[in-house]
Amino acid sequence: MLKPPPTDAELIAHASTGKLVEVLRREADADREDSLVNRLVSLHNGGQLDLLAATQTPAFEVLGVSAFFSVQSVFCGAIPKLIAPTDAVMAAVSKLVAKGGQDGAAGFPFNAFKEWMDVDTARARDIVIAADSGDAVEKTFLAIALEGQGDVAEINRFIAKGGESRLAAIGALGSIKPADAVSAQTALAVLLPYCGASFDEDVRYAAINAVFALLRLVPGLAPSAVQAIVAAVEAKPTLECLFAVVKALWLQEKLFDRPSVGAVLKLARASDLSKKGLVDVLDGALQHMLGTPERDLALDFLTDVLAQKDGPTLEALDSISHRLANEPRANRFGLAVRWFLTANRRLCEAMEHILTSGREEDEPFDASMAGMGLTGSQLVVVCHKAIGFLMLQPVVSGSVVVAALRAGDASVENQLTELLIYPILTNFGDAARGYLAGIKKGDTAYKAVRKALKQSDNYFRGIKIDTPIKELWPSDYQRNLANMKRYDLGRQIRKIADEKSIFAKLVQKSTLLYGHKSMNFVGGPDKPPVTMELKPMGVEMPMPRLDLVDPVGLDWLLRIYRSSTPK
Amino acid sequence: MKLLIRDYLASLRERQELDVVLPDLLSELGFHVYSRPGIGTTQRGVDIAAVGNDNGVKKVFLFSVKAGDLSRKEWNGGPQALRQSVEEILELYIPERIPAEYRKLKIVICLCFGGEILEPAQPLVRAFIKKYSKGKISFQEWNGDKLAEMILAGVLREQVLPKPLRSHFQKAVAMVDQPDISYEHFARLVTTLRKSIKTDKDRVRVARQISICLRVLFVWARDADNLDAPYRASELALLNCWELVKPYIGKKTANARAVVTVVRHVIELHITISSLYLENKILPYVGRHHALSLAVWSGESVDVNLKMFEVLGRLALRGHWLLWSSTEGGAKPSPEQIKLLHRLVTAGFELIQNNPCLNLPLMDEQAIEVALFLSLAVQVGSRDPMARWLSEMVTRYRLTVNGNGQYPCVFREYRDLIDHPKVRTEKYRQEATTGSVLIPLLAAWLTAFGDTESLKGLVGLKAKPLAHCTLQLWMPDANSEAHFYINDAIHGIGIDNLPLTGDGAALMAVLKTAVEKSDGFSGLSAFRAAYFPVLLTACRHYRLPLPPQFWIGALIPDLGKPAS
Repeated sequence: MLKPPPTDAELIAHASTGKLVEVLRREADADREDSLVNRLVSLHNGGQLDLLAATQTPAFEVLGVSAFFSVQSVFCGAIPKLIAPTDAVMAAVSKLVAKGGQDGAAGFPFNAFKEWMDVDTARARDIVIAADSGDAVEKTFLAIALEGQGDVAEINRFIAKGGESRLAAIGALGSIKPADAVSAQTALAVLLPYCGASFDEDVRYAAINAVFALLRLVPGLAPSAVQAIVAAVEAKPTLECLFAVVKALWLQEKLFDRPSVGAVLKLARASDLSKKGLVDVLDGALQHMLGTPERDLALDFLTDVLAQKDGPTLEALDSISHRLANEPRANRFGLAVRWFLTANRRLCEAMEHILTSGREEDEPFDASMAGMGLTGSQLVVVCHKAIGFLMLQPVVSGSVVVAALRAGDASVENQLTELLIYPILTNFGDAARGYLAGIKKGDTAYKAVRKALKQSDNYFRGIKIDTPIKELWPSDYQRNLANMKRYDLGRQIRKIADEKSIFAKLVQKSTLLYGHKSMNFVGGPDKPPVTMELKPMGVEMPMPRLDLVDPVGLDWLLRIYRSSTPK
Repeated sequence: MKLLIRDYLASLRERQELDVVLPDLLSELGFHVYSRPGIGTTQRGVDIAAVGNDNGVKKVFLFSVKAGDLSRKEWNGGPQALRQSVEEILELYIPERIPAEYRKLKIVICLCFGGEILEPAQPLVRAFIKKYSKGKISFQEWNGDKLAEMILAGVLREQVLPKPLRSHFQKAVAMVDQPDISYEHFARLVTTLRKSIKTDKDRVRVARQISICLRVLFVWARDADNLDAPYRASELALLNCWELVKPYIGKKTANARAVVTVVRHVIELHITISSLYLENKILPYVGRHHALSLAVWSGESVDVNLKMFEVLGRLALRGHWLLWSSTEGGAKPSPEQIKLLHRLVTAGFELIQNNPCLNLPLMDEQAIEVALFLSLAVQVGSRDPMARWLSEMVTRYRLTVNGNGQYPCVFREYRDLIDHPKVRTEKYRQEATTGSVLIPLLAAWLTAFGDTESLKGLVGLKAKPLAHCTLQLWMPDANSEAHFYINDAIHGIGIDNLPLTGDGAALMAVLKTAVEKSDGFSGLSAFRAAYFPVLLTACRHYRLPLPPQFWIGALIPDLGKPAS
């Protein structure tokens, strides 16, 4: 049953003990007059509690991740409506932002601060005056204040001052919508030089971001501006500048022409791809590019970097990985052939990742390698890789072999047929058989597939011994130990799955020991209960037969297939 | 208990099975058996002849034996029917064949069968008995019920098989479908019986008890279609019986003859069980890819590996017994025996080919099965398939060690094996490979085959990932004779730190010297009495590595022939 929201008295009591954040939770309808946010604002502005002070308590520091973002949401709703000294608001916002860490939502409190500042122009003015007089004002607050004031001359004055003030002012200049084309050109003319190699990293980074912010408002300036920025970064490539450009490529891809895209990717290829921040923005940019005419550039880049020994793995590029895993099957097949053919282990593993993490579990490709210009040896290698890296997906790997057979290369037909028999059909009788039996007469692969099925049937007839050979059975003791081992393994898997589950962190978990239905009085005893039918849920996958009868041989076979290269 | 014995008697399928039991039963009851069943000899209707007391009167007992129940057909349905046998006794045996010293004694013709006379046959049998019961000739019906009573009053009487031992026996029989438990009870029974021996007479009696208990166990297990328990029990029985026969080797006393006879019967029974197991359960399927591996009916590859190596060992041992029986007393094997030997070796290679887990042991001690099969195969000169098998084994050995896979380990406990390799760390691997008898065995054979490539692979393993591993072989020493057959203490000598070089020469030199200087092996009674498969059985049963004497001769020609 859900807890009712705290009463005003409870909020005041918790605030007085420094534990206010413990009872703050995001509400579905924060606009209601009696919503938690509105009552907090009312209590704060009425002097009955200090909401902002709650961010400075030990209870705030120890908030868990999911609880924190719930609390942050309450603050973001309340801050714009609070009556409070600027210092106190800035202190609370700083705390909230810092606690958010690297999360994409960590900066939301700055938006709330901006809204708070916009309520009264004096607030921006006070911040600017304080910064101008030498008081320590965090540059983001100053940038927000300068942007809020919208005074370009004032901004230029701050740019000229240098230091943190310059960084804030550059940011502000990029964010102000120019009054006209001339103002836009003027602003651009101010910002572009700061992208140059003669300035330090922070200034260049701020300037590049500011230019792209300006281009968002005035896209017409893009062609020359983007080329100028790319040229500036090429002149002296640094990690932060590259990060800023790649981020722009991700979020404002339309501003880039093809040569600029190529140039940025070239810079990225030459950079240190062990840096998570850069890899993350690259990931975003690449997955976005897959849907654009620059798709080929994205795939070339990905192929290059994934193949590098010290390059990132596909698991690190989770957006593009997800996108590729859910692309049309024809696209995935093309990429699979391309990457398997390289025989590069990292690319093959990346392909394995893509083909095993899609929505469909073990669906066949309906494809052919005819017309791809592959030699017999290349056809075989692609199939080896498909089997070696997709051992637990016999239908997928089987369909790759069928696609190779469809190329109609008689010189390797027997070899490919053998692959269908052993290891695919031998290891996964039923799973692969269903797919292969569906290959229709008239299909180039039909004859070879029938031959494979016939031989496989012989094998299955052979393994069938009508009278059980009890002498070969393990003892009860051995079976019990094996069951215990499986039980322990199952528990371990469930534990790991629980730990890795993103849902487990978000939901309240109940464990029902008995019954097939749950009944929960969510709204209280006087409201109708919510009932839920329990359904069994499980995952199963076929295990290769050789894993049982010849695990060492299977391991060896997979190693051979995985290291197979075209002649 | 009586029910158990009666059911056993009724289940005997072959007349010979009852033939073998009966003389021991009679001897134990005080009869003097002067004629035993012989193969291919005509006894004029008499299967067993003995002299004994019948209510205080000394009489000649002539037995004609049939298996199971006596139906009309079995009474009078052709030349093999009981009536014909009894008529032969009346017309030919009694007038001509009774030894002179017994001719004056009264004669009892015993109609002997494991079951009972079925109702349709009863009037016919009674009429026959009435007709021919005259003078000094009388008839007795020895049916399953009477035989069971005799067994319980004789060889298994309570004085010599007290309740706790009867309980072990009954449990061994009842649990034939759980071979581990059945064997456990049978082993306790055998050990306790053996330890109870005080006199020579006890020695004979215990040998007979072990024999009859094993027979009962076998027949019950055969009916349950699970020969695993009697197979294991028969190995244990023959090894314990060998321990009993040891003092009589070379002697010709009545007790010596009696124990030797029992030992021969137990060996024959072991061979029967082994043949039945192989012929019915294994050999028909060795040519089918994966069929036997999948017949293990388990989800664990460790089970498949353990069972397949066990099958290979049993098959090889059967071959060794065949080799022994066909050459016993300096005889030359018959063409049929040679054919059967070839068939077993070929089946062994088919077994390996179609059950690929046999290409690498999971336990180092499975070197026993490898050596058993190699030492058999080399007798028929199958060098090429042997060389291929060993080469494949080395390849897989290297692959698994280097990849931290399922490499052969020193562990013997199932709970360790099922988890092996528990962790893929150097530390665990060192623990799991502290010593090896498999590597020197492979190295010696590879040296003999001239497979330097594989030999180099082993040298490479020993040089780095298995540098810590103590390479060793085992040989019997002077103490072994006392313990080899009953496994009641650690014995023998481990030749350790064997050298491994690229050409294998150093290893072979060490082995040659060690074998030449060893007198433990030649001091073993089974070796001296030329019963070498008894030693192989002991090695397989008690998990002792095969002494190099069994195979080194095949690898170093100037050492002479191998022990087998």
